[in-house]
Amino acid sequence: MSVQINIAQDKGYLLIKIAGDMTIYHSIELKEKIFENIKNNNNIVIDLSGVLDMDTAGFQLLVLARKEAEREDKKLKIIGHSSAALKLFDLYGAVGFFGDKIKIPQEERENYSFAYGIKKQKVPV
Amino acid sequence: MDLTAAKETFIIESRELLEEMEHSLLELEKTSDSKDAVNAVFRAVHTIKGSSGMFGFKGIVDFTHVAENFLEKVRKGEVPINPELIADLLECHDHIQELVNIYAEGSGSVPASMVSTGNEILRKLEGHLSGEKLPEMHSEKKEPVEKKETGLSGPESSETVQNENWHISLRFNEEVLKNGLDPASFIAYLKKIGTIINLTTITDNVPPVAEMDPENCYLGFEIDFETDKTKEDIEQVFEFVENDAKIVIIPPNSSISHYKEMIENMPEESMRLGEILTSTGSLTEHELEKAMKLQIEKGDIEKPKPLGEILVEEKMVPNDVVDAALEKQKKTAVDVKKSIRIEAEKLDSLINQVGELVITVANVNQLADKNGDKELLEASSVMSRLVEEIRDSAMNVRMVQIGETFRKFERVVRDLSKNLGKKIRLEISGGDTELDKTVVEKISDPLMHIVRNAVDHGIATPEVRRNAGKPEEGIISLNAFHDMGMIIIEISDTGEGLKKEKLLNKAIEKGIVQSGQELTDKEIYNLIFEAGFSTAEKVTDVSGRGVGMDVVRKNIESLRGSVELDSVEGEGTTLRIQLPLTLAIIDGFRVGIGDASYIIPLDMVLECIEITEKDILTKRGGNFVNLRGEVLPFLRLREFFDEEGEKGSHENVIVVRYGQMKAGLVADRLLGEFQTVIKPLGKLFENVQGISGATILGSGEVALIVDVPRLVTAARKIEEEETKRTEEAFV
Repeated sequence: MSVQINIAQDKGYLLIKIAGDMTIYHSIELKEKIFENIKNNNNIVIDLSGVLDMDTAGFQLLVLARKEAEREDKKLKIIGHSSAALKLFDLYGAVGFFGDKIKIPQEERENYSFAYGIKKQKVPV
Repeated sequence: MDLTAAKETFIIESRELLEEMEHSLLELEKTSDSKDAVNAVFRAVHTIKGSSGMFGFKGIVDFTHVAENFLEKVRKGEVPINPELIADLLECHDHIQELVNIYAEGSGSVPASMVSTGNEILRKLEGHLSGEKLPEMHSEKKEPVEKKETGLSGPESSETVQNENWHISLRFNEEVLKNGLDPASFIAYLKKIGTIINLTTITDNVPPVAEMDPENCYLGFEIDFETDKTKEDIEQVFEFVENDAKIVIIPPNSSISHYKEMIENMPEESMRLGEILTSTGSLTEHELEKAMKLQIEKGDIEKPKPLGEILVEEKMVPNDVVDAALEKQKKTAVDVKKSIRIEAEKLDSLINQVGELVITVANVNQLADKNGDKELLEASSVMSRLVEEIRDSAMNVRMVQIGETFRKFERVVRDLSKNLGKKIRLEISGGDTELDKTVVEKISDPLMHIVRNAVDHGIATPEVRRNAGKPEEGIISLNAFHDMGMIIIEISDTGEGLKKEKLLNKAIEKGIVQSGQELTDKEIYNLIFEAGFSTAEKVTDVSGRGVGMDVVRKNIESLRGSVELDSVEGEGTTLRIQLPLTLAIIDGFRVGIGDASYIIPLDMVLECIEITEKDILTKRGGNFVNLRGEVLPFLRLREFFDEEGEKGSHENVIVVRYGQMKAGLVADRLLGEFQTVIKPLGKLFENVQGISGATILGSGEVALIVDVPRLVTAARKIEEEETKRTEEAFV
């Protein structure tokens, strides 16, 4: 399995689309690609719709991106949470931390608990 | 876990923190708005409190707790920073230092007199608050504490939290992911034996992009967990990750002190973690407040156990947490020094062994030379080089910066000048200059004496200075730097300078100098190094007893160093101390005179020249040589040391430099570089002039090490006398 990272400049924002495995096996490559692009852009969207697997290392990179955005005063949006991503977000109570809107089809709702970490929170820098 | 070792670490670290605290306070006195300094002071007290709590040093905890409380207010800017505050805080520092000393000596409790001194200091601090009261320091009364079945025994408050869930705190080690473990799987598994009521992912420790290793784990978790399973069951979930994480499991309705412990043991700031715990509902605001305030009470009246031991025994905290907490507090210190502690003895024996090795290698070299075996020669030369490198590394390990010694004087100068009603600023430069540990230790006392002298005699009171048209504030500066394989320490002041007349009169009165004897300025100034010489008009408790400067000089000379003084009346005084970098092994230059070998420290050798009769200037005595147009006085080592044996066919001059002076030393043969392990001369030879030590050659023979400073001075003196005599002859 592998990971693909597509970078595209869209109307006013930079779109980083990640597909495949967001795991420790690709974490070095992921970090490099993501942050080299974030550096020079102030409006970033990360699309997770193609993510098939995510582990703590992958999740942590999103945390890093979120913190970096806070630190550097950039806008960061995460969209298209795949079920693999969402499962980890749910487990880690991280929905509020990222603060993005998440759309889940009704029939998939029961796969997640969303019992905690829903409220929007301050990102520690 | 070996608690004695941990206790030792605690004491050493506390002393370091106290030094830091003192430094910051003095810093704060100069620039009253330095946030960093305030934070450093707070951190020092906070950390000492935390660690002493772990060892059950109640006396320290009691005092520092209240002090910390006060400092928190200072930090928030609620207390104005003024000289009185600094003075009281310095007293507070001294008190903590004494408390630490009491525990360091192994005494378990604090004498009542110390407790009341502590209380007095705290009341003084209270005086800085506008009407507010600080919490009372706990008296020695001991409250019985019932043992609980579930949690840990020992320090606790009888109050329990309302939280009916288990609380689990997880901090994974950075390597956990690399070890193939994923925190997510453990947490997912946790769900199988109960319900996660709340979980907060702690992201505070994720470093900035540049420092973040994507394969490391920086996350931590605070979990509220509902289950009817036992503590063992929960522990089992984390069995595999036991060595890769810090895990604290707190049972439902535990006492507040458990939370307090946890908060203290986790890497985040207490306040931040407290915030998280209240926001997730693990603790109520009120409970958090209590936890923060809670005093650690001794658990068992009969034999109080160190807290750390109890924690470990009760398996409440995994072994490494206690270590880690100490470790963590170390990390919060301003600059993280990556270093390890080694006993000085071990270092000394290493140096001794390296010394023996150097001698043995010299022996091997000589044998190889004699043998003429080419391969052996090559191997032995490679070995020599390696040994030389080992020697350098070993010596390097012993090198320490002189800055810490300098910094000690900040407080001395401050307190002394306050005492004497003077305004004095201490300026330090070259604090990062390194020199041998033994030298640093031995130079500390003489330096102290010189600095005290400068404060007492050097700089006058503000009125006197103002009348003399000088700024009220005097400056004492300490400077250190390397020069020609020596380290130079300069202590100068912008004070009164030495009064030549007064010195000379005193010297004549004491019979040190005969009246009518002519002395150069320098010679007059350096009279103060003579025994029994003090010009202070009155003896103060600071100095002026007439024992002092001669002891200072003796101490410095025993380090193979020298000291000289320069002064301009009304402008100030500068003392220059020259010290060798090391006392153990040096690079030497071996020369032969007759059958004997002598060693000249290589750092002082400038060049070697061959001389013939016509180079020697034909002044009386003939002790000069024309060195490219420069008149260079020289000294025949053969004559100086009364060596016999056959003379060489020609003479070699080794040009040496000492300070600003140059001179030539004449030897029969030049034998090349030689690694010299310095062996001190016995008591019997202590007063032999011109020799600073001895060494053992590869052949087992002894070679003497030439005391270059003495010889250069001697050669110069002869030159001066000669010049005087020739001048007289012309008159």
